[in-house]
Amino acid sequence: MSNEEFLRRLEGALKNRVPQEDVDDAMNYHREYFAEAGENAAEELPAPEAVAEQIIRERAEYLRKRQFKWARPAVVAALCIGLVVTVAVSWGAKHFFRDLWGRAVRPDTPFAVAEQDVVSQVTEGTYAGTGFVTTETGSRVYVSGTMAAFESIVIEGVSDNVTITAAGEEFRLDIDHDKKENMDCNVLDGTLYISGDLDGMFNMGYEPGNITITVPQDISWRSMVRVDTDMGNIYLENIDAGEVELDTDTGNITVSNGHFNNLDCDSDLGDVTVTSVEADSLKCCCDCGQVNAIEFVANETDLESNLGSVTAIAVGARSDYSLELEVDLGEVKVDGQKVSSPYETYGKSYVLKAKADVGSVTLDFTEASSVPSLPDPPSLPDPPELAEVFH
Amino acid sequence: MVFSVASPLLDGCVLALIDQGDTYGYALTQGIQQWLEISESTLYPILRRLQQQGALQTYDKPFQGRNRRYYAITPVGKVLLKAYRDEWYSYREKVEALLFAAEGETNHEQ
Repeated sequence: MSNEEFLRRLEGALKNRVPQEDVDDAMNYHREYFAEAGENAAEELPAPEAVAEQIIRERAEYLRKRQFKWARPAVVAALCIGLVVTVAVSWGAKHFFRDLWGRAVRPDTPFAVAEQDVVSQVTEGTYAGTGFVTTETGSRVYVSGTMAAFESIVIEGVSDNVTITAAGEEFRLDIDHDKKENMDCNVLDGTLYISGDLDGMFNMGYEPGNITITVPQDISWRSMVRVDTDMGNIYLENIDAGEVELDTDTGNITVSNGHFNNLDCDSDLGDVTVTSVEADSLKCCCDCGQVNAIEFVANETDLESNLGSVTAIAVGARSDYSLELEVDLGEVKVDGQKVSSPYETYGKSYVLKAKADVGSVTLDFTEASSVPSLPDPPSLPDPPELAEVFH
Repeated sequence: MVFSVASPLLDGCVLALIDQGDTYGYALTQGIQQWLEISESTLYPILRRLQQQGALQTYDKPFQGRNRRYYAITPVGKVLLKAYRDEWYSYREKVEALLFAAEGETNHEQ
């Protein structure tokens, strides 16, 4: 392309994305460059749009760094105020709503309303706000702090590992994150929103970070948890909630010790493992991985794996369950006994469906009537002395 | 070298060249290209960033009826250049320790 065309496209790509002063500076530099370099020097250069992108990106970096520097005393002051506010609010709420604290956090209780002051705004790799401590190392950002109370969690458009546990007495958020990814984090109307700008495509080049959310131990939730992460693992422990939807493309899902209305776990390439869980309805679905449901009890259970196997240990006796078990290529075993596929029985209380296309379905009950005990494995010979192997 | 997030290495080299003498964009690009394959870069983002960091200052000098913007190193820039040089020595030492470990050579140290 000609020099003129390059300049024209460069200006078009920069205008309104950076201040006019920066546009002029860039244009002057390149005009001067071409004046020295001669005709058609633009042919040697990358696309003007690519040049513009880098200029825009660098300016954002520069602004972010500069803002953080002068904001430091303000941040320290804000941290102190935020800490005081959080403590005061928690203390006040705890004493005033003593009864409610042990039960559901309902939408109309004051401390569940969005407290925008004690909120973290996390955008374009920038982390600021009150009540939070932020550190940076290389390309990682670490954010850690306490938040206003929330009763729902919505996480989407990220590729990080997500861990949600109940422990202690605070609402805490810890993030370890790649600076290059944009992420927004906000508590609004009792819901914690964490959203990135991934559009569902595999995020190459970044190491998945970690988002860890800790909620108070004795709170019983009746609301929603929805997590959608690309590559990351999802880990829930000691969580009581209403509607829970966990979705990951390549990661594993692990849920242990929980009580739910509806629990829906979906992993494309990873495993789904659910342990000691009580639910109204339980659904686990995998394309490639294994589904393991250990010591669960639910009114309705639906376990499915396309390429992997389903292993389930259901609480109760076989007669409590209506079963619908199906495999295409694998086998179905109930309480150690092989049965034909599809296998359908009628039971007293619960409905359990399990399906594996390529793999097997293995189902056991905690009140099993007779489970043949496996013979002891043969003892392995001692490993050879290393000296014998490497002479 | 691809037109991407500039490596600290390139920043250091640019500073070093400017330290030897005030120069303007095109001449600097030519100077670097004698040594490094950066045919796809005008160095503009690097120069802009170094300027914003306070490592470079600019002034204009008319030449054949048009303007040339010259870049000069500042005291901050000299400190930054020394930091890049120290960093390079340290890095080089480590790489060479690994790269030449088998040969047990030590005469590659600086």
